[in-house]
Amino acid sequence: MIKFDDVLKFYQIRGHRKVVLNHVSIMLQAGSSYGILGVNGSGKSTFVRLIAGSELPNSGRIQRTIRVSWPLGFAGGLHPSLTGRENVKFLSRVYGENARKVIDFVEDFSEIGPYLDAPVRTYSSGMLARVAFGLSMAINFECYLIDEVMAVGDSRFQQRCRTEFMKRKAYSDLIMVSHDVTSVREYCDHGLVLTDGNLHYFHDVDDAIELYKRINI
Amino acid sequence: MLAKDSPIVIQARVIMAIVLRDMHSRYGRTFFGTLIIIAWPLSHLMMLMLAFLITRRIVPIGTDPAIFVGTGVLPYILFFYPGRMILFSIAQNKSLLGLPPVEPTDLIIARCIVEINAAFWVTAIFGLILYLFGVNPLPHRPVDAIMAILATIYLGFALGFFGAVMYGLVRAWLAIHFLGLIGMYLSSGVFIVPTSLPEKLRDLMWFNPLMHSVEWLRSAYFDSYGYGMLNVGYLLGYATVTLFLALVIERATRGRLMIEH
Repeated sequence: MIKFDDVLKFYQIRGHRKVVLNHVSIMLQAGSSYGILGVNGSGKSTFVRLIAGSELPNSGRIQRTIRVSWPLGFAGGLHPSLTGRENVKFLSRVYGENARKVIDFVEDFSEIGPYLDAPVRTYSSGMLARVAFGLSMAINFECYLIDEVMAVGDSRFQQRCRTEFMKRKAYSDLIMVSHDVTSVREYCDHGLVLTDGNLHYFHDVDDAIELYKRINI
Repeated sequence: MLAKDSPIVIQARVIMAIVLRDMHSRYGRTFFGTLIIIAWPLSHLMMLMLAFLITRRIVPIGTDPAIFVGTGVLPYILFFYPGRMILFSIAQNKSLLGLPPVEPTDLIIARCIVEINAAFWVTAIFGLILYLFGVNPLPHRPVDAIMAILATIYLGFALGFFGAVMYGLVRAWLAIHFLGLIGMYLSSGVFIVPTSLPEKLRDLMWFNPLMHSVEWLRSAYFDSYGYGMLNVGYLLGYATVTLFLALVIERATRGRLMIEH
């Protein structure tokens, strides 16, 4: 369960206050997946970072009773001068996972071969994305956060990402930001539409998509 | 449902992971890389000592120049390195704040552990080097010496913590912090005895907590030393208030510290 209690989040941009969440209260239940829709700049990514805990609200409280992932494919936690293997070990330690198991999974999934023992700064963007995605899949989360990126690499690898992701979906929830309404309909049970600092909840994801289409003209 | 660890277990796990990452990423993953963490401040300390011993043979107190200058330079090194390296702990690891379990204080505490560990080794190896050169490094009052060393590291940790938070918020803090550290070094009485200075200058020096560290360590070696100048309460109070302020500012500005990538 993730509970937002009277959460206010704003940014001060050149003296102008941009409100992302205007005293929002909502409870995202465990066992359900949510799709977040909104026009560009409405604050969907900020909402995801607030859920992750990598950003804090200006006021109000956010409570999490489940283990939430970082946004899928996030590579910021990888240190450029450490090898892929060392970075994987580090993240395994942070999450209290068996490092051997996580390394084996990432090694097999990312298909980057001996590069896993090379410093991350030598990786191409594709290799970096594969390792980052593999890491997200190797660590067990109860809720996965997706900010547009659901798959990386070429079409074959993208298919592999989707297959792996569907396996996780069987026992984990997901909270997904996407402009792709087909994906939202496919993966999510409920919908949320973020507009002008207000978060509208829809039990039926199709109702959320309908509102989104109306405001996104 | 995954098994839940208590928040304290999670934080300890995160901090230890960052400690190992910090050591590997800053100095490489070999034994020699790890050695640099200790060798760097140790060689700084030895160079300052040598410079003094070459230029001045007569010391104002005691009979051994190595002990006089060592008791001045050691507190400076034990204070300066944690104070300097902890400053960069947030700035150098900011991308980790994108990971949900990592908080700014974890980055600072992890760097503190690395630096405090190095400080202990520097002290031990410095004592060993003095011993090998025929100087007796053991003080008359060992408890005072140990307390002075711990208080000095605590001061460096507190100032480093404060600096890390301020530098995470204001880039210009870097210059202020370093000027402050240099000012504290120059007015700490590393190479001189404060009581030999004019009263007005002495009164100003009294406000420098590092001077009290030097005086405290010297009082453990030289009988009747430190009276009139040394105030242990001020030194510990200064460090504690600084640390308290750092914690308050960190908590109040955590949101900003996390997004100022």
